[in-house]
Amino acid sequence: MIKRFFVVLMRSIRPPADRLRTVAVALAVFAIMNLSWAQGEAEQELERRVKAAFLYRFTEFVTWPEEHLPDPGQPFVIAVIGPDNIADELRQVVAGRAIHGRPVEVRRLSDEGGLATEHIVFISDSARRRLPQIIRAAPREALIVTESDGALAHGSIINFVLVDGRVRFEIALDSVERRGLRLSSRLLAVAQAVRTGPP
Amino acid sequence: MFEQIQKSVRAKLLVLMLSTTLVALIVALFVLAIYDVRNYSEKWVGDLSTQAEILGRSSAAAIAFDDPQTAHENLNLLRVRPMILAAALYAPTGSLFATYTRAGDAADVFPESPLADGITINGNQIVLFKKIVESDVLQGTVYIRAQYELLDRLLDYLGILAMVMVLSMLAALLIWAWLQKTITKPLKDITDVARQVMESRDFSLRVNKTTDDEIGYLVDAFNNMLAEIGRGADALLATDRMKDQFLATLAHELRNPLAPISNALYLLNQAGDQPEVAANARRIMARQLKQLVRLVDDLLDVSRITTGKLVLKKEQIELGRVIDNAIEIARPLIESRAHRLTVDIPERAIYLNGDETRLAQVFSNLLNNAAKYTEPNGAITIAVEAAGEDVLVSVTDNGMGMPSEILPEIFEMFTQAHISHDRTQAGLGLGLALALRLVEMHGGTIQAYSAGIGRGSRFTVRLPMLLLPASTAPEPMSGGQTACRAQTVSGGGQQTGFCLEPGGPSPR
Repeated sequence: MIKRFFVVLMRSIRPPADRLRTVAVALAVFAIMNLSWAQGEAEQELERRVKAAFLYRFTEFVTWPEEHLPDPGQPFVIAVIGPDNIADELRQVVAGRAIHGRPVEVRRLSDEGGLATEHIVFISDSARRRLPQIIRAAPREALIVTESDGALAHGSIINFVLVDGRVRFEIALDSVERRGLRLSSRLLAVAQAVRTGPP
Repeated sequence: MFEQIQKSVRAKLLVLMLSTTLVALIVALFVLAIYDVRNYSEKWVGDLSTQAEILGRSSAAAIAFDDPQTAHENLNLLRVRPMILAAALYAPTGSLFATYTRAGDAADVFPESPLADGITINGNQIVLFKKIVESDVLQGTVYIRAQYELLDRLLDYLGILAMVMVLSMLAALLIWAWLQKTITKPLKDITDVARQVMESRDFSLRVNKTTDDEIGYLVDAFNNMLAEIGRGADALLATDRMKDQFLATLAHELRNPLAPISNALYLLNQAGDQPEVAANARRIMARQLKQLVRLVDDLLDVSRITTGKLVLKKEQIELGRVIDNAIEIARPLIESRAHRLTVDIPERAIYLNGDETRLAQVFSNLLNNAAKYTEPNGAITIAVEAAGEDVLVSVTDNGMGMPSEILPEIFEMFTQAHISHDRTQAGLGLGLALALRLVEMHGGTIQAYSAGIGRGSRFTVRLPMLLLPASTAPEPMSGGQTACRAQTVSGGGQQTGFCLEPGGPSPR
């Protein structure tokens, strides 16, 4: 869409005597736009990385019922529903680390089809349309993390939001209780917003 | 200054109180200061560590989720602790995450990266680094810089010390003033009076007693001692006066016979062919000489008694004979003053263990006194009476008598009952004193009675009787227990003796 805009812009520039200059200006503008695009790409990359790190760190502030935690030796499973890159990022974060004394396994799923005994289910914005179904299909004690506007209303527990370009998150306490989880008050302290019930 | 303190109990008390208070205060505050400074140090370090721990834990999530604002809010809570000058949170990577500077202070310079855990005291500031570790994972590091007011506290203590010292010195002064009133004031009173007594030799001075404690007792004792010394001094003075008087009397008495002797000697020289004049002169000289000898004998006896050199030649003697001897000695004076002497002695012989001459001296002294202190033509009685194991010999006259208050004194040496009496009859005042000593040496007593001036007097000598077995006792002069022997010496120098039967007519 941006490229097309530039083509229209170039065509509309007259007279031909200034063509060379026009081309030069167009090239410059294009270069700048292209740079800005690349910059957006880098920002998204950073955002993915931060979200992956946060996903791992949430486990320090969330308590699962002991009976729901896997037997020692069995992996603690994080499901990522969405693109590969965030799952890859998360795998890098958890490499060599343990959660609540268990090895960590990251599973990427394309939809709710493969959900079974996950402890954290991250639903990417790309799966926004199937959000309610996926949340319903998730195991009862799973920590649901999303990154879509209004996801809390569908039963998500933690929802990432962007505030001034920074990754923050909001929390739905009612969903936390429903799923039998306990969140540290320190996590609530850094949350952007805390929802205690349906609006 | 030091000498003044040495010489004054008041100053010593003051120094004692002030120095005691001072030492106690300094020691107490020194110990308190050490304790408090240690306590302060430990408490403050512990307090800061706890603070850092709480801060770290509550900010761990903020660091983990990259929320500097929450971290900042957490740090800002430190504003309730104005002692904390600055604080900071470092991310696990070592980069500065959030900072806090006490309100009003200039922005602080924070270390670029956290140092190792621990506490550094730098002058009046304390710096603390503390790593936040949760489940073995480093969450970040807390940095706190706070005031460390050890010096200020010490200065505070010095201030308190100065204030407390001023107050307690005032209290000590008040107590000292009170003590001075109750202890040193009475002491000073005693000292003052003692000094006055030493300077003026006035033993009638007394210390005013104001307390009932040991010092009060001391005051009493001091006053009593003063009284004692005063009495002693008075007695010495009185004795001294008496001796002076005695000396005057002695000189007078010794001088008295010399004029008649000198006159008689002149007469003797002028007598020539007048034998009656010569005889009269010789008689006068003999009488005056006898008087002189008697005086000197008395003096010698007194001197012997006082030096303990008088020795009695004790043997078994008969009282009647002793009294006869005494009457013989006293007869000239009795006759010369025309007294009537009545002798009342039991017929039964009474034996004593004693020195005949000395006992005769005792009774003749009493008879002489009676004769001397009774107006001419008086009546004198000497009576003997058995009383249990003792015998009483009394000499009674109807003469001038004595006031009762001087009765206890008349046996003192150099005492005369009638100082102002006509000197022609005066003696040395040794007679009764001698009599008393002699009677005492015989294990007896002597007492004087008088109803008052002009009402006569009676002297009673009590001596232990010698109880002889019946066989060895000499036969009485005549039979009958009630028989008696009486003798009257009439003023005319006629001697009449007769024996009275019981119920018979009295010689009077």
